[in-house]
Parts: sequence; C-alpha cells; structure tokens
Amino acid sequence: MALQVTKRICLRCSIWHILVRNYSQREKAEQTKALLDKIIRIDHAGEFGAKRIYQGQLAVLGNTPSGPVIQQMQDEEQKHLLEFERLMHQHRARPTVLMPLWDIAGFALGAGSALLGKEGAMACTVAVESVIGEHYNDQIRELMEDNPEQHKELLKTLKEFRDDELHHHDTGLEHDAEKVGYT
Amino acid sequence: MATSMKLLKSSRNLFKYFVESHMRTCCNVRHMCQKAESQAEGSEAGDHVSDGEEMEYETRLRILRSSMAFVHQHGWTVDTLAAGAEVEGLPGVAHGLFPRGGVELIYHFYTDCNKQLAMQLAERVAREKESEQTNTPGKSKITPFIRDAVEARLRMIIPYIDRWPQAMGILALPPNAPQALKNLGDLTDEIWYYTGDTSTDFNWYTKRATLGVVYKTTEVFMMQDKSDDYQNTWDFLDRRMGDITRVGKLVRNGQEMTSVLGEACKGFTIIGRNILGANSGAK
Repeated sequence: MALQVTKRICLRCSIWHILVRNYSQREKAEQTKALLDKIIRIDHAGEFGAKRIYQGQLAVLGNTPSGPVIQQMQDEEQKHLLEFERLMHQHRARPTVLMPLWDIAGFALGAGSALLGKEGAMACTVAVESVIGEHYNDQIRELMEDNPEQHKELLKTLKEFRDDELHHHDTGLEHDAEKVGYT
Repeated sequence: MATSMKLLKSSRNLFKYFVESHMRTCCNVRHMCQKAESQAEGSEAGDHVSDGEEMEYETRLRILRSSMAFVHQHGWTVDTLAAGAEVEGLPGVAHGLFPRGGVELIYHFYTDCNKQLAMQLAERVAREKESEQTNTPGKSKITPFIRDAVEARLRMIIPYIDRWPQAMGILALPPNAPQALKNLGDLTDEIWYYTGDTSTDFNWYTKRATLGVVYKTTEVFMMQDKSDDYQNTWDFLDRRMGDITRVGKLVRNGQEMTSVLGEACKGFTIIGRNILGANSGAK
C-alpha cells in the first residue's frame, strides 16, 4: 500500500488543493517498473549519443593536442554505456526506437562542432554535459520520490554518473570553451 | 512522535476547514474542487481505499476467468461476461466493469496465455541449463527454440479455435488495435528474452518485429487449417523460420559485400594515385 500525494491548483479559484491517493502494491509495482524502464532507456540513449558526439569530435580533432582529453572523456562515456546496458538486461528494459537517429545525429554534432575548432568542440561538450547533469538530477528526484530504499543502488549509480558528467563539463570549460570566437 | 502526529492532523483539519469554507462561498457543485474534496475525504477513510482497488481488480479477474467457459456459446461479447458474472454470484450487469466489452476478455485470454508461455519457457531454459554442463551452447539452438515456443503458444489457442477468428477480427478494429499490438509485442519479447537475447540497439526491434510477423501469419494460416493435429500449420511455421534465416544471411552478405566493395574502391584509388605519382611525395 503506497500513498501518493499530489498538489493541484483549482483553475477557477486559484487555490492549491492537496489530493491523497492510496495505491495497491500491485499498481505501485507496475508504476515503479514503468519508471525504471523509462529512466534506463533514456539514460542508455543519452550515453550512446554522448559517445557518438565524442567520436565525431575525435574524427576531426583526433590528431591535435586536445585529442587525448576527448579520448579520455569518450572512454568514460563508454564505461557509462556498458553499465546502462547491464542495467537494461537486469531490468528487461527496452532500448530506444530512435537509436539509428542518435547514431547519426551524435556523430554529426560532434564532427560539426569540432570543425569550428577546439573551442567549438569544448563549447559543445559544455552545453551537452550541463543539460545531461540537470537531466540526471531530475531523474534522481523522481527516484527519491518513488522509493529511495528500493532504488538505492540505482541512485548511487546515477549520482556517480552525474558527477562524472559535471567533471566533463568542467573539463570543457578548462579547455577554453568560453573562448569560442565569433569575431 | 504522537504529539507531532496530532499536530499534523489538527493542522490538516484546519486547512480542510478553510478549503471547505472557501469552496462553499466561491466554487459551485460541478467544480473541480468538489471532486478534489471528495477524493481527499475518501482517503480519510484510511487504508481501505487500496483494498477497494484490489477488490475491483480481483472481481474483474474472477469474472474473466469464469467467462472463459461461455466463449463457445456466446463468443467474445458482453453476454459471455454477464454469464461469467452470474457464475460468480454477481448480477449479470456486472459486465459494466468492462467498459470496452468483449475485447477485454480477449486481452485477458491473450495475456494469460503469454504468462503461461513465459513459465513454460523459463522451465525449459532451466532444464537446458542443467543438461548443458557438458555441451557448448550453439547459435543453432535459437531457431528450434523459437519455433517450439511459437508452436506452444499457438496450441494454447486450439481450445477456443472455433471462436478465435472472431477474436482476431475484434482485435483488428481501430480502438483495439494498439493494445493488441502491445500484446503481440509482449509475446515476442518473452520469446526472445528466453532465447537469451542481449541486443541493446535497433536489432531489438527488428528481431521482435520479424517474430511478430511470423507468429501472426502462422496464426492466420492455422485458422483455415483442417489437417490432423494442425500438421500443415507446423510445416508452414518451419518454412517461415527458414525464410527468416535466409533473409538474415542475405542481409549479412549484403553488408559484407558493401564493406568489401568499399575496401576495393580505396585500393583502386591508391593504385591510381601511385600510377599518377601522387603518392611519391615528389613535386
């Protein structure tokens, strides 16, 4: 038996009302499964896309001094990807339908931003990683609202990955992302 | 702890009082607030709300199970559900628990068969794992496994095969088709999962789609099959599984051919540049 508390605002009198609903165990289990399925699918797609972006950047900037930095970030994304694949098998989650799209779009974005120079590539990294960081935070919130005890392992993984992504964000800033020239 | 609970309860009552008085003055009966209030009050009745939810779920399940016996008589309709409800000691109008009518009975039967299939496949996998200590698992085991799984699942329809064409027709109707496709997807996912499929890219979808097509075509074939123990259907199934294997080989050959051609083109380009002296570095 699980309690769900939601706030709704009445459109006519503009007052917040609190609605409380009890869910049976069975319903709650279904909801949790759907939530986990969604989270794992989206994160797997995100890590795959990030890896493709770095591969695109390496295709252009592989032989330059920023090559090793990008290579290292790509290796960490690969590590994340493998972890999400393991979670996908564990929870029987399905992969995203748009995989071929992320495949091409990720590489194109990476190569395109790298063609603007090293600063362009770093700016792309900073932008992508900051969005991903917020996204992980939203998911962590969702999981905490659902059941912090049950999702302890997954929460730990997501927090660790979020910190890695923010580290990439800071690396991008260090390597002159803000010096992208428009002049 | 007790005092904080009392405080919480009294503050909640205070809040409810203000909300109620506000609603009496400025919201009318049909208003959303009224529904919100009755929902909030419903929960005040305490833990019994969730028991109510489960009671409805379980009543529906009981009616669906009892209705299966009447399918031969009335088909997949509300009459069957009404008859099932009466067996359970409920009034016939309890079929109102199923707003979409007879199709809910079809979904129930379909998902029930899927669950049974999942159990059978799990047992088979467990048995094969025990006996597999000495043998090395080969890829060739997947096709017979899938073939047997599809046969087992189709055999579950045989008891109701006199009325199954009607069910297939109902499932093809636009309001029902999405859920029917989802059920088919769940079925193919179960079968592929127990073959040990670990794909995490678009192959996940192509595998399930092809198996869905095989299952559907075999099902349609079975409806008009009059042979002994549906032997023609199983031969048809074997031919479809053979088709998949052949198409898979074709696709793989095509991909290999493309990569070989690509390498060959690169080679010719290098030869051409060598001939023209472009690679020697001399100006």
